[in-house]
Amino acid sequence: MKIGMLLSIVSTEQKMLFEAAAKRGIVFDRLDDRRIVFDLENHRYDHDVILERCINHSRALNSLKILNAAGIRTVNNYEVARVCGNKFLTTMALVDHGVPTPKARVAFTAESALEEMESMGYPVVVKPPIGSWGRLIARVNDRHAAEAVLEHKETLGSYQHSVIYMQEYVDKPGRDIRSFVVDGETICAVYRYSDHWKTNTALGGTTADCPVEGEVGTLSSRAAEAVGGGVVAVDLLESPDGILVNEVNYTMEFRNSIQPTGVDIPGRIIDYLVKVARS
Amino acid sequence: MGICPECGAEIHLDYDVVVGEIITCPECGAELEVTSVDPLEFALAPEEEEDWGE
Repeated sequence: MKIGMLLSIVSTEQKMLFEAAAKRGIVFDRLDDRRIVFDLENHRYDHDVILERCINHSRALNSLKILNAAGIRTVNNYEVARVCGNKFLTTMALVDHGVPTPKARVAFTAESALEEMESMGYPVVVKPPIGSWGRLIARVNDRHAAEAVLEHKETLGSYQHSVIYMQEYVDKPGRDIRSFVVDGETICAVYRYSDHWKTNTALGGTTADCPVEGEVGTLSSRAAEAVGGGVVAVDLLESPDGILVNEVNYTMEFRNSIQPTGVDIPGRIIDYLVKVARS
Repeated sequence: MGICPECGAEIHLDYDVVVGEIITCPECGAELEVTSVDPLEFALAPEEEEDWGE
């Protein structure tokens, strides 16, 4: 069985995955996305499955497109990366599948975005459609802040900031929930606590075990199915009206979630990889 | 033992690393990527880009 891992730098997660694979007698064939050149007519890969662990969304997305077109199975596949890697595509997939999610709008000019935010009511959360770790996400509390954020996006932002994604602000109880779904099963979840309104552990949030019985487990599995399945991490918000699915991550980080949950997340990912390779 | 490409400090690691792993220079705090394990060699780690994440 030949199993590849597409990556560049080796994060803590990648080391954990190497170790989990080694325990099962598997050695990853490492494919460094900084050195890869794809021949678009003749593909050179003969892997049974490739685990995508790129840190750059653009490299992951394009590589997966090419690999899948060449008949190579990947975890996750191109469609999952395409939907999860773009916040408004994620919202659309969740809405299409009837999964509760915060209300969101997309606009293309500062004028139309400002008008819409006034209509939605403040606070409004403005996010780049593509991005992670809470980077460049703004909680806009009033019209003055909206004007400033939109001017900055127009003047300083790259091309992708011309797509303005606006989401209703959910007043969560000082925490959100990060769940982990493998092959349709919600295997564990953590509460992520922070004094800041952003609860990303990349920004210093702390974690504690969250039971997956009931709505957390069901909604997480439904969210994973909505984006195409595979191995994903789902961000959930506890709103006064019930749990909402905020985002779905396709190259998930899990280093802070193994200890509180007691679940061998990298081991479960490797077991799923082997299942896909044999299918 | 490896050399920090930023400050020239000698770096001794008392744990196993793999090629591609990121470490922090204990002298200058620079983030370094392990480019070779034997001999131990480092390069400056890549800078965070707009589409980095999970």
